[in-house]
Amino acid sequence: MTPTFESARRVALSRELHARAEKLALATVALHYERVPALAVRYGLAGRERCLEDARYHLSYLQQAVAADSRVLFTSYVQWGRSMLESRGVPVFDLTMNLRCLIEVLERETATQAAVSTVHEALLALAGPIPETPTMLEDGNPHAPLAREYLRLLLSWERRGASQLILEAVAAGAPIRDMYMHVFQPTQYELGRLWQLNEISIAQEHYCTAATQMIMSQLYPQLFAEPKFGRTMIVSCVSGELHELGARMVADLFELDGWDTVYFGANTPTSALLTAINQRQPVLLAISATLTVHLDRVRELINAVRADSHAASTTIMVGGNCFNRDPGLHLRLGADAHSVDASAAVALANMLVEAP
Amino acid sequence: MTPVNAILMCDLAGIVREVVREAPFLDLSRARGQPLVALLDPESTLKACAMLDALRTTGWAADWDLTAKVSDALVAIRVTGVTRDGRSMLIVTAPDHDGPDLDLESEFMDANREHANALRALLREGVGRRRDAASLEHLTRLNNEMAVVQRDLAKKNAELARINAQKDTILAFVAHDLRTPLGAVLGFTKLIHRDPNQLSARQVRFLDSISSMTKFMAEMVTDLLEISALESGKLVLDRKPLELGELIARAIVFNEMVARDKGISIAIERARGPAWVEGDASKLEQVMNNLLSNAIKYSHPGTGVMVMVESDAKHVCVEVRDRGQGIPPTELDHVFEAFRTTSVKATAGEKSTGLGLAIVKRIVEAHQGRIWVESEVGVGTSFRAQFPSCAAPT
Ligand code: B12
Repeated sequence: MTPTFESARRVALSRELHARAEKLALATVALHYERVPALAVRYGLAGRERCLEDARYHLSYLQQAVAADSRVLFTSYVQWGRSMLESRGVPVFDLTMNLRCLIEVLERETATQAAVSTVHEALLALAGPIPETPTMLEDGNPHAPLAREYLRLLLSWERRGASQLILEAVAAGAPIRDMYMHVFQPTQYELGRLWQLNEISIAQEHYCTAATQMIMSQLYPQLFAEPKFGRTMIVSCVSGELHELGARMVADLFELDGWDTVYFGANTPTSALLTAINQRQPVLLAISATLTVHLDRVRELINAVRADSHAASTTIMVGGNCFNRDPGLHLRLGADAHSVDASAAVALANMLVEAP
Repeated sequence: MTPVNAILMCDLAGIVREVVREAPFLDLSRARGQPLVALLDPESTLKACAMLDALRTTGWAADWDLTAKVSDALVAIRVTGVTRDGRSMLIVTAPDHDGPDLDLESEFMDANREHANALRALLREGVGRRRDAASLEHLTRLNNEMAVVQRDLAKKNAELARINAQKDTILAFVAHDLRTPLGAVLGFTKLIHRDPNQLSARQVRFLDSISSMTKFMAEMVTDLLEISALESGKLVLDRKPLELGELIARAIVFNEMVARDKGISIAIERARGPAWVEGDASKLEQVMNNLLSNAIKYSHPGTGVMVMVESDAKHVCVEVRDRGQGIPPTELDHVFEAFRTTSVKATAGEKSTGLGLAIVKRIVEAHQGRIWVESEVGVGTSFRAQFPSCAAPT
């Protein structure tokens, strides 16, 4: 898809927001403190510094949402922020006030309506009920008891027990794919939910994720022993992305399906990726991004691939948390396809490749 | 170096009783006797009161970010303190400063050791927390990179295993396909030998060469097939209780002709009682044949090869000892590896496939036995194989 005039205009606007972010953030905080003088008393100078950090963070999400023409990305970010604050005992009023000030500053300082209306919509959503983040370990999951036990073990720091649980299930005939889709993924989502609700610590979440990374690799001897039929694909995270599990799961399930996969983490420079594409000639390039703030890098990567005459025809699939919030987002970034999870991605890719 | 943090003593009401140390970013010249909050920006008052309250009630307060007023400028500060015996010791740093160190050299600190120690512990904890956050991200990156490398290795490993299996298949395939034509060549050579037409002496010599070379090739093909079957785990043992002494005696008879031709004698010394092992007769015969033919190959004419069978309650041990040239110590570790031949030459120029001992070792190990070698150059070589013994069949 060639970038349309409209999308080029949005990217330009987003660049402008980026360039002026510091000034806009400072102005927003100044306005906020002017409106609510008690803030200074409550939080002191350091509080102001933190308020400034928050404003910068809002702007970085806003900038991405504007560039990608996706209000829902900013709305979901703000709702997430609200839930984070509430579960940590910080009044939500600070957030709404800050966003109001941001609107005023944007109206005063920028020429277009796009940014302002995006924040407006998010504010409206904040006034409504906050959507529940449902647990994924309940109904509809054929392996729910196993997944719950797995999570329980991990949260009790028992990675060996957790590993044994999975290896035994696989030895007893459970497909590896099911372990990925019905145990690892919902458990990771549940960890995120518990962290968001301030029920587990960062350390716990790190531990559980690292343990799952290890347990996945214990399944590798079986996973890689599957027969191959010669289709090649490359999977990569965008640079800076620390969330690698989803991308790896995608690579692994393609491998299980008989694809020959090349997996890059988040540390591969674009040039190295282009070289790999030229050498391996994959039919598919899968790009993973979790955080909305990394969308720019997805766009840059896609543009770089499209600009390389040898790589341009590669089918590009994107996925990850931020894409799952907005069904049309991938097209607006110039990708060919998107799937909500690894299993669906394999099915879609097979269809795309077989289509004439 | 000037200290980068200030130290104060306050009473429970929050009045500064002592300025232990001044810091360049603060003006504490008139602080003594004043309330602590008087040093701060009015906006920070409420928060400072909350901190003093924590100091009073819990005995400690860590990392409170406040705003001080120096002349007319505002300065961000971070305060950490502990209370002991109705007095609070506070350390004041700039907020972005990582890890203030409590300089404990002064007399004042000595006199207030308990305060100082508690404060030091608290500071260490705070620094730890701040460093932890930064380190955690580095650790995550590292962990992710290791996960990438690990996946790479696992995938390469699987590829290698696949290639290895492919190699075994090709080996078995080639060996199998060579066997048939080799058999035909051997058969035809025999037929020519028997041909009623008189052959010249020259032709007979050539024919002998052809048949000895073909025999060697056939032997090699058999060994290749054998080793590839062993390597790919396709060896199926047909195990029954058998008396090893008897099996060995048969193997000796089988090898005696070749030995006699070279002027070598073979003697056997059998265990007092029968030596039963649970084994595959044809495979164990192959083990004995390989060991014996090796011993004959490397023995000097006129010497003897000794075979001993010993047994106890648990094991049966077979030793094949020659008085040949011996194997140099550096090569001794490799004699059981496939395709590894030693620098030792066969005494009558016999050829070796380099697979005999590798096959022996694998068969012995498939019987839960073990085999090892001892050798001394110029003295001789001894191979010993040990098998678990079994009860005599009833
Ligand atoms: C584990 C985790 C981390 C770990 C990641 C470690 C690692 N090695 O991967 C660490 C600790 C590093 C981390 C850090 C942060 N995290 Co985090 N993290 C998570 C958590 C709990 C699980 C992620 C995961 O493993 N998911 C499991 C996989 C299988 O799911 P997935 O990623 O969605 O992938 C599937 C699909 O999306 C799809 N897919 C993925 N990629 C692709 C690609 C293609 C081409 C296709 C077709 C499909 C596809 O298929 C996958 C498999 O089915 C999530 C919670 C969540 N709901 O995901 C939060 C979460 C993503 N993190 C979050 C946040 C905020 C952060 C931090 C900013 C926190 C902070 N302040 O430090 C940092 C940012 C770090 C950075 N710079 O990237 C938020 C994001 C919220 C938002 N508004 O954007 C979440 C949602 C938690 C929450 N509920 O608040 N995090």
